[in-house]
Amino acid sequence: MTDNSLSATGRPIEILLVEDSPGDVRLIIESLKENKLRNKLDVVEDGVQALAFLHQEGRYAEAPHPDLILLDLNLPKKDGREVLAEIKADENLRRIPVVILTSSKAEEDIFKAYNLQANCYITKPMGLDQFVKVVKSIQEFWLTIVKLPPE
Amino acid sequence: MKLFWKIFVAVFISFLVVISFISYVLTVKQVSDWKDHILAENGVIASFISKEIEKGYQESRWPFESLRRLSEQEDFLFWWVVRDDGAIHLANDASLMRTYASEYFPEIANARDENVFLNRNQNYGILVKSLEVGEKKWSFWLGFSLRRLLEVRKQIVFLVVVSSMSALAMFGLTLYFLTRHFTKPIKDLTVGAATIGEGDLTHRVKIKSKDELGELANSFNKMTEDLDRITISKDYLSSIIDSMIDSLVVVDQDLKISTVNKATCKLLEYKEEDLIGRLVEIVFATGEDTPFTGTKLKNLIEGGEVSSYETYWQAKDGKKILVLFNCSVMKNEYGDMISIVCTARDITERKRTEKKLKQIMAELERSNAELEEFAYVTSHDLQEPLRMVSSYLQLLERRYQGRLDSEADEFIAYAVDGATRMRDMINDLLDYSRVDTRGKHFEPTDCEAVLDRTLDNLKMVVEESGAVVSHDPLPTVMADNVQFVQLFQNLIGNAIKFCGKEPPRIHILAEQKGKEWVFSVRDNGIGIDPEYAERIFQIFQRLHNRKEYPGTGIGLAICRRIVERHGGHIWVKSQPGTGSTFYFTIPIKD
Repeated sequence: MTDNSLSATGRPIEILLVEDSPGDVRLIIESLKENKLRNKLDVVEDGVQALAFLHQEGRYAEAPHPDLILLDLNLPKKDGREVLAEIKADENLRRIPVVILTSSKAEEDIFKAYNLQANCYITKPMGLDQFVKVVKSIQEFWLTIVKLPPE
Repeated sequence: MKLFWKIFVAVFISFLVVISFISYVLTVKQVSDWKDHILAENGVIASFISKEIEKGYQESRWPFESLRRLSEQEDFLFWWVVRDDGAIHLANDASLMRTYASEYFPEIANARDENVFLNRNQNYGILVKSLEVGEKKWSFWLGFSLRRLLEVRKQIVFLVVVSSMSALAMFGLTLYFLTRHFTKPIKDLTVGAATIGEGDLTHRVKIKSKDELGELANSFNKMTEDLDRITISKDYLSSIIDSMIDSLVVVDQDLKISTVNKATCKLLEYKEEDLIGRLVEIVFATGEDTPFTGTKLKNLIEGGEVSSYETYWQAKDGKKILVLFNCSVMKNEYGDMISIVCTARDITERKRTEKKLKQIMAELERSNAELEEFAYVTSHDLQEPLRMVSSYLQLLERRYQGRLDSEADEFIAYAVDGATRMRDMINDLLDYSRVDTRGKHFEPTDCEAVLDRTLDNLKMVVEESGAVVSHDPLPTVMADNVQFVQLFQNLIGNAIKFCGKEPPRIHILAEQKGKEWVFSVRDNGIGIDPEYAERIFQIFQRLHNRKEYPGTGIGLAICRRIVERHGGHIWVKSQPGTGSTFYFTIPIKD
C-alpha cells in the first residue's frame, strides 16, 4: 500500500476530532496508533471550539486546516449537527470530508446527517475489537484510498 | 227478566183465554143439556098425563093415580087443568079451582098451545100442553122446579172453575219453569258477555242442560278460552308500556302527543295530562332540529322511520337532556299514516362515559409515547457508559494479558462478562417494552408464511443442530405479523437451543376450540420441571446457567407479552426428559 499519509506537499495529514468523551478520545488515539500511519490528530471537546478551530479564531489562531474531520453528534454547547451544517455552508470548509462518528444508530440521525451532506456516517461499535477495526478502516479509507482535495 | 215475563205473560194469558172460552162453552153446553134433559123429562110426563087425561075424560075418569105420582116427583111444583076460558078446572091444590090462571101468570095465561115457559130467574118452568077433550080446547099445565138445574149448574160451574184453576196453576208452574229454563241461560250469557267485555277472560258460563242452550254455552266458553289464550289484555299492554325504562311517546297525525308512558313523565318531570294533546315539539329542547319539521318530517313519513338520532329533550324546568331518539310510522292497511311511535333513551351517562373513555385513551396514548421515549432514552444513554466500561476492560485484557497475575485476568474477565450481559439485557428490555409501544394494528396473518419467515431467520441454527421442523396446516389469524415472527422465532429457537442429545424434532399445529385457535409447539428437548412452568415466563428468569445454555431469559417473557397483546394466553406442558409442548391461544375475531 502506498503511503499516502503524506499530502502532496509532504506534510502529514491533519485530522480534527470533535469528541466530548475523553474515554472515546483515548480509544481513538490508541486505535490510530495501531495502524502506524503518520497523521496529526487535533482534538476539541465541543461544537463551539470546533468552529473556532476551523475559523482559526482566538487560541486557535495558529490551527492547521484539517484534511479530515471526525465529528460526534451529541456535543455540549453547539451540537454536532449544527457544526456540520455550518461547515458545509462555509466556502472554505465545505470540501473537508466530515465523518460522523457517533453512538446513535437512530434512522432520523442518519437521515439528517446525510441531508446536511455529511460524507459518511459511522456508529461506534460496542466491542473493543470492533471499535479498533472501525477506526483503522476509517484511517485507511480516507487516508490511503481516497484522494483528498488539494488545499 | 223482561223476556221471561213477556213470554210468561203472553203464553199464560193466551192459555187463560182459551181455558176461559172452553170452560164457558163447556159450562153453557152442560147446563143447556141439563135443561133440555129436565124439560124433556117433564115434557114426557106432561105428554103422558095429557094423554091419560084425554083418555080419562072419555071415560069420565081422571088419572088421579098418575097425577098423585106426579105430585110426588122431586121437581114437582103444581099441575093444573085449565079450561078454555082460562079458569083452573082442576089442580093439585084444590083451593086454586075456579080461579083463573091469568091471576098467577098473566103473561102466559092465554097460552093454549104447547109451550114451555121459563121464568126469568130460571128457577121454575111451566109446561103447557093442549088437551083435546071433546071439542073444547083445554090445557094441561105442569109447573116444575128448576132447582135441580140450578144446583147442577152450580156444580158444573164449580167443577169447571176448579179444573180451570188447577189447569192454569199447573200450566203456570210448568210455564214458569220452562220459561226460566230458557231465559236464565240467556241472562247468564248476557252477564257473561258483559263480564268478559270488561276484561275478565276467566269467567265461564254455567249451563248444564244438554240441549241447544247447553251447546251455546259450551261454544261461548270455548270462545272465551280461545280469546283468553290469544288476546293480550289491555292491562298487560299497559303494564308493559309503563315498565319500560325507555321513553315512549305516540304522536298522532297532527303531531300532537296521544300517549306517553311513565318513563317519559319521569324523565321530563311532567304529569301525563300536561303532555297529552300538546304538540310533540314540546319535549324537544328549544332550537333543536327535530325530525318533525320541514323536509325531515317528509323524509320520516316516506322512509317510515328515523333511528339513532341524537338530540336534546327538555324537561319541565328547562333542563336539557341528551337522548338517543327513534321513531317509526304506524300505517293502516291502506298505507296512510295513523300515528308515529317514538322511543328515546337518556344517553347523558353514556356520553359521559364515552368522553371519559376518550380521555383515558388519549392519556394512554400519551403515557405510551412517554414510555417509549423513556425506554429509548434510557437504554440509549445507558449504553454509552456501558461501552466505556466494556471497551477499557477489554483494552486492559489485551494490553496486560500475561503481564498481570492470572487472578487479575480472571477479575477482568468477570468484569467484561458483566458489562456484556448488561448490554444484552438493556437491549432485551427495550425489545420487551416495544411489544406494546411499537405494536402494529392486527391484520389477517397467514401463520404458514410466518413459519417460513421464522425458519428463514433461524436457517443457520437449524442447519447446525440438524433440527427437523414439521407442521400441520396452520390458519390465518388477525395478528401483528412482525410480532408473530418474533413469537415463533423465540419458541422454535428455544426448542432447538434446549435440545437433548438427539437432534431436535419440532412439530407445530393449530386446533380451533370454540372462539379461539390453540397453537402448540412440541419438541423432544430436555423438558421442564412442572414446578417452574409458570416462572419461566417471567423476565430474566432462567433455569440453567449461561454456560450450559446462553441467553438472558427474556424470550418467553416477550412471547407472553405478544400473546397477551393478541388477547390470548400461553402455557407449557412438560416433564423433564420427555420434551415440552408450548401452547398459546389466539381469539378468533369476527
